[in-house]
Amino acid sequence: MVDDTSSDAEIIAASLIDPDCFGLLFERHFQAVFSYAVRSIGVVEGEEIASEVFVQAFSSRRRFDLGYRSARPWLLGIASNLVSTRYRSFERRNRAHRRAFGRDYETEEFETEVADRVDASSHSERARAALAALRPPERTVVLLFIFGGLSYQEIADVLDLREGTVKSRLSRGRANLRNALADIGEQWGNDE
Amino acid sequence: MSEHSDPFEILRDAVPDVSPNQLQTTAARDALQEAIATEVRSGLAPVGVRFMPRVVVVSMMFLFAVVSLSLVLSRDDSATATLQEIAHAARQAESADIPTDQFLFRESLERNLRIVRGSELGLEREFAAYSLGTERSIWRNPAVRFVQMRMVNRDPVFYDDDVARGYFSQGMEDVDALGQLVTERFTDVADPILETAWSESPEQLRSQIIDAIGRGDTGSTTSLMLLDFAIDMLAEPIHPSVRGAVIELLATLDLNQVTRNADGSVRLQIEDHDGVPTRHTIVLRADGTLASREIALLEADPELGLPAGTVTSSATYSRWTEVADIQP
Repeated sequence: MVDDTSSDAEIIAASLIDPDCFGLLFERHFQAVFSYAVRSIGVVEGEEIASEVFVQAFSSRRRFDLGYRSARPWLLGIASNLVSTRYRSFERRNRAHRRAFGRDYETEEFETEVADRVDASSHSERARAALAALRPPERTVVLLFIFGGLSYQEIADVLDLREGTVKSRLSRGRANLRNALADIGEQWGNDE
Repeated sequence: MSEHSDPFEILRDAVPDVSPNQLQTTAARDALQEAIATEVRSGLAPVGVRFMPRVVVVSMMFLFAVVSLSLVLSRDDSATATLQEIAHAARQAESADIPTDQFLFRESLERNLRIVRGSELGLEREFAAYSLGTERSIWRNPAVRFVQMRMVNRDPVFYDDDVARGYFSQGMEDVDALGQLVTERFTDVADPILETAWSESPEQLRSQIIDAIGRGDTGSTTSLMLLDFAIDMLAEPIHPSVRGAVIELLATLDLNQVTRNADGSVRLQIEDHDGVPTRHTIVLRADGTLASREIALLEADPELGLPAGTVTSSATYSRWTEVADIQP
């Protein structure tokens, strides 16, 4: 039987016979998934997503590739899909708003406006506004990298992309975030 | 270089690591335990097809084959043929390669839902909604990344009296610049749709769009996501061959309804039940250009006070035409 020393793959394989084994995976990775989700999209949505990830993972565990020893990238991939869906739902609601202002082009003015529209009193809100202004492909990769702690290769596996594509999206994301976050960095620099 | 010049480090610091509290952990653990218990109760634990009696496996394979065949046969061939015909017409159009001193011009009439915080209208509720009409004229020259838009907002529509009163008492007509002509000009607009080398093959185009959406082909990319992106492409002055490919791609999606109108245009509908249930309606002209798009709620949204059928977004578009002058 499986125990604390078993690999994630062994636990998932065992859970196909004894579903209760899947609980071990929860104890092992809930903290990381929760942190990723909450940091990516905020407490209310993140909390729901963290819970939903394990329910989805359990029901789709037969699709887990047992060649991978760790399930963390797989779990974060599920979380990433859920985060993207929430962002998209939010964007769909606000798309009308953006269109009415003719801001459906990628201009620096648009990004600035998005950032300004948020009640930007705190750094974390400003940071989330900057993330929200990224293009979805870049945002997904950036979130998995900075909050999920996944490597280039792990992100590539999770999103079914080439490693080079992951690197280029990270590079574009970094460039786009640089201006939006520059003032926070300067402020911290002054505080130090 | 300071560590705070790296935007990723700024983000890590601005949104610090967080741990779940006992309540959050217990709630999530309970949800998983419920899912596990449900599977155990239903006897559906995937002990393994390998242990199933051969007759059961064969029966399931037969059933699967019958169901698959039914699905294929029930696909509306006339809908596919209609879209193929429009795609063919789109490919015959002339490419809109315009000189640098001329412009592509289009007009549109739009109506979009606006969601604002209730406090902006002096209301106790968290959110409030109203819709606003916009007339828009646009001139652009993609080769030199130039865009000019002239817009005027008109005719707010309210779904309850409190929102209407709040709108005018808080001076929102000034915020929305009702009736005021606004002109905006952008001189370096990077339009990813026009600046991407899209494939003229529907299959490859599908992969490119999935990649652009950023989901990876995980099986969870829905027809609606593809449709949304495809319609964004059709709204732009894309190359005729790409327009044809986009329309052929539409023919492969799970559309709920495809209707040919008397004027040769075609109306496509798709319903989305993931999240807020909505119906998306798109009308393409016989030449494959986008005539209109609309999103309507299938169910009421009590939080925003919107009845079922509310149109949250609509737009009708003229064709892109080549013009020599720009209206300042």
